[in-house]
Amino acid sequence: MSKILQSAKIALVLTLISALIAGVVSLVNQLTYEKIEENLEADRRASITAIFGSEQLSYEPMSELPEEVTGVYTVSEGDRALGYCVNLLTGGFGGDIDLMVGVGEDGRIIGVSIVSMSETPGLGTKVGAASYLAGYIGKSGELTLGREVDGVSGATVSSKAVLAGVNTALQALSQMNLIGGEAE
Amino acid sequence: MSTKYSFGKQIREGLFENNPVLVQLLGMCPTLAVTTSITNALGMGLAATAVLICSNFLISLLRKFIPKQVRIAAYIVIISGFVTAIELLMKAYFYDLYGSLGLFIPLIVVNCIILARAEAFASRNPVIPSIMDGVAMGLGFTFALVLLGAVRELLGAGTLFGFAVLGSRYQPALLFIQPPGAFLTLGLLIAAVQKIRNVMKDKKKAAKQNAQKKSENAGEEEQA
Repeated sequence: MSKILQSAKIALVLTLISALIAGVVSLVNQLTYEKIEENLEADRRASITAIFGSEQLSYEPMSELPEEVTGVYTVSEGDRALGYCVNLLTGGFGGDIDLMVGVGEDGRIIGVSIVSMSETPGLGTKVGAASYLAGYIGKSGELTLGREVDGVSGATVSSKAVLAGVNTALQALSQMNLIGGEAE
Repeated sequence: MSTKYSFGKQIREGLFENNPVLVQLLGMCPTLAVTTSITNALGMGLAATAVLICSNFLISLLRKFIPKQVRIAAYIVIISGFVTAIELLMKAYFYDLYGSLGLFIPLIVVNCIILARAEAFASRNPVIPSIMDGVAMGLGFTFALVLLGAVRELLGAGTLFGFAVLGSRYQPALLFIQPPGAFLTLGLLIAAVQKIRNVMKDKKKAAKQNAQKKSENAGEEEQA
């Protein structure tokens, strides 16, 4: 009997400690939640602003997304629609690359930017350079490495990851009937 | 009791004589992975230090309350709770740093330095010395990481804290910010620290022997 009591006491102590820690974590979560949301939002706004090159734009998230993408936004400047921005994760060399792809209503790419990645420093990270990503601007339809866009030498996997991500973004938009599937 | 703990000695042990990374060889995973730049190294070091201080404090406070049979489980719960809290705080107030450390922040949970200090120190000592131990060991960890990060960033990118210091003519040795560079640099650093420790030990020994000889000589002279 005393053995059972002792086990119960051990379990109780562990539960109490867990409850205490859960309390601490939830308190910190409450204190930081808004600030974290703000940071994420600022990040998103910065990427979209960089792609569309306008400070006064507004964007709205869309619902019912294809499962390959994490977010689709309609971007407009005042009353003028600028196009769509697709956010998605694509598998790179060192984990997922968080990609933002801006596409005009005509199906042409307005810009590509990388929100975060963990590619090899000095090699794979070169795909994040603005000069490289500029190679995607104006392209549309199914893209192939070496034809419509070049890869970065020494970073084939990372280049292919970005390319795959951009293709997925374009496909997602045409699936949602936002752009024509066969835009050339 | 008060003479048993000396903060100066604890700091010296943490930073050098018993440095968690360079001497005890604990916490190798974050050490090798995040030290691609001095900023990352500093961020990781300070985050781990904060967790270490908090967990040492709470574990020492609860040391008589935690049953022996489930102590490791209790430590892990406490440590992971603090890691999550620190992660949220970093995400809120040091967002850029959080972005570059990313995955390695949650991995502080399994950093063996923290569990080792919980088991070896905090669970056996009063609260204040345990906090001091957290400070000392955390600073030692940070010191080792910053040293490693500085060497790797300087050679691998030609910068320190992101500022170019070696000039544009320096062609960065990319190897150093890649994983093999981490192993090479760490190996050389450990060797250097061992050498310094050995030299210091020899000096101490030599000084002792000299003193002994002197006293013997003095004794002989007196006899003569």
